[in-house]
Amino acid sequence: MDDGQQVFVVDDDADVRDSMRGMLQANGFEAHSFSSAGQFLAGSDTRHGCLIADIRMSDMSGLELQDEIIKRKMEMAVIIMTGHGDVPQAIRAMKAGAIDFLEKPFNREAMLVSVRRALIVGAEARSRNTQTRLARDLLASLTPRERSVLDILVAGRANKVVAHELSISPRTVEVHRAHIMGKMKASSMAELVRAVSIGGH
Amino acid sequence: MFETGLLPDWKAEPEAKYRGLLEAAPDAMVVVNQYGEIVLLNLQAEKQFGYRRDELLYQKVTNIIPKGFAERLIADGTRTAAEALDQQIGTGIELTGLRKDGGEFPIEIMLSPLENSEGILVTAAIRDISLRKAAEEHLAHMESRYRGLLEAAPDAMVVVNRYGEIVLLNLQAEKQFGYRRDELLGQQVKNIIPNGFAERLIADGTRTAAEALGQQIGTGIELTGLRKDGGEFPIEIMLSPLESAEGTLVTAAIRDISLRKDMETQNAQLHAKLRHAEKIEAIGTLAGGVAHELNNLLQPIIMMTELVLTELPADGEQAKQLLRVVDAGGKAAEIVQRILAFGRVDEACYDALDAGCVVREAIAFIRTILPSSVTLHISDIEDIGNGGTIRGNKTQLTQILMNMASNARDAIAANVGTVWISLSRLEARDARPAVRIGAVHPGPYVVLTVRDTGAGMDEATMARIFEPFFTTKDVGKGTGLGLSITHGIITSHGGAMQVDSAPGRGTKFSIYLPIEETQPVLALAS
Repeated sequence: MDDGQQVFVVDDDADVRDSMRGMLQANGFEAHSFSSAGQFLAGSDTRHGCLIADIRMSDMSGLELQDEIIKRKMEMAVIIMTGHGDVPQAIRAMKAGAIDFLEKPFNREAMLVSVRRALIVGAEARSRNTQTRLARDLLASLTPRERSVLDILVAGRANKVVAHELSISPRTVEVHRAHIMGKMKASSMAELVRAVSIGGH
Repeated sequence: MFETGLLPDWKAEPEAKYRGLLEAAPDAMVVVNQYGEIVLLNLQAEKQFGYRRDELLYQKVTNIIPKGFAERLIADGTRTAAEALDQQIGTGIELTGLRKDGGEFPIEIMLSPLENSEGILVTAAIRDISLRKAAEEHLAHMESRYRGLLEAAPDAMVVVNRYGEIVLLNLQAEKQFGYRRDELLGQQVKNIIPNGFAERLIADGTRTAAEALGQQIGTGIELTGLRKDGGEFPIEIMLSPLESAEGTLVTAAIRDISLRKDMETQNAQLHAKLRHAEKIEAIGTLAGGVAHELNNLLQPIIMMTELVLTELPADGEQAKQLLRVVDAGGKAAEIVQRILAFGRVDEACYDALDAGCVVREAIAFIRTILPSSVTLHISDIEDIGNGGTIRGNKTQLTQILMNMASNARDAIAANVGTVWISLSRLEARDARPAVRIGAVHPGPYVVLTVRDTGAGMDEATMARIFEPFFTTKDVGKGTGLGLSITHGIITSHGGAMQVDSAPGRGTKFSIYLPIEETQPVLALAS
């Protein structure tokens, strides 16, 4: 599996997490299991993929783990497991962004469907995050003058208008524009607008 | 006392001969001739009336006994001594004596005739009964005071003699038992207290008042009272002995405890309901914990078996065996889900529903679970119309209907039978139906009944049907959770439920769901 297809199982019951890890591995996923939320959080925050956590654990509950993951901005699609079918808790988990909710005992099929969906949703989110980060990095490489020119350009103004507003010659605007296109790795005005919209102002 | 043989000849034998005899008598004695004159008297007579002997001799007897004696004497004069004796004249006549000082005192006189040559003489034995009279007056006074007490008593009071006869009673007793006083006086107490009282009385008869008092007889015995109209009512009686001239009487204070009994019954019912609710709640909590543990155990059982299965040839014998493990795990999971239904009833969504629609739709499912030998009879559903709007969870209501229908089916067993389902409207105002579960408050209700011609139940079974895991069905046929879940669902709907059944006479479940005023929004929504 390519990078990003990792599945992390957190459950304080060894039989539960071993059976799940075994089943995930048998189905081609890179699976890791942890006996507690603390053990999982001890690892790198840059790990990404799908996390399946039990709602009831002794040190930190699945919901608290979910909160911690959000706090640490980890790119993790969360699935919550419960042995109790606790609807209000499920609602809370889903509101906090959990992808799915698995009621124990679930079978292979239910788990795989849920994990695959979580990984797809997670990968999409990660991809969006990557593009956003890239756009931000590129925008950050512009000089303040170049940024000013860009803001007026993406508002749909012509070079002459930009020159007038910034009290510079149209020729200078042309030079800035060429530099901006180069730094932003954009080949068209449309690409430039998109980068600004996802990278922010 | 004065035999004629002792006085053969009054003239020949002077009074000295009998002096000793007269003087020895404890009473005052005067002998009176037919003219009403005293011819002989004794010392006691002198003392009693305060005269000297010579002041009385040959004086009229009316001087000392102004009334009654003379009239009687005259009357006596008209008959012979034999006749008078025969009639036992003057046995204890109460008259008034008059002393020389003018004082009056009560006397009792006994007259006896004496025949001699002068004619008939009358001997009068005169007893001063002042003391006795005073005692009697005191008693009468005490009796009137006692009667006052009796009438003032808040309880019905009857006084019974040792023959079990009522000798005294108060107004409350008349009212309580619906008799007039004269209808009860002298009657057997058994007429108004058929059991328990008489037996106790007999027992009391064998002991003295002191003993009985010492043992605090009859402190709050609960018996049954019988009114004139035949109606029975619960009573509490307190017996106490009363010494009297007629022997030991028994005073019974009788309290009508109908109200208290009703309260006790209501309290008992309330407690039973509370205990049941507590039990259900405890089991719900327990079920939640057990379910969590079981689900955690079932998880690896199912998933590890599936994992092994992926490594085995799909059509092999081992794969088939392991598939059965997975299936069994799935079934176990279903049972756990049902147990969990207890704790989850509160979390369901409640919408305004048309009860008629819910029932009509459920009937479609019910038809599929009833065998052809069972006739399904539906009545009154249409009549409800849109007035039967309830707030509820459609899935849960369908679940309880299905549950009752399957119970009816199983009760009918292999036999031919009928299941009736009806829906009606009830205005619970004053007359509220008795219910086993929940409570019916004043207001409009829809009443859903499911009745069958099945085996029915005895009271002992009925008392337990709402307990989780209680089942009369064969092992594997029922989980014993259906009616427990029904109980939870009805309670969460603010409804009530009643069961009517008897062995061999089928069973009727009545479910009361409160009608709400708003119109349904989900009338026919799936």
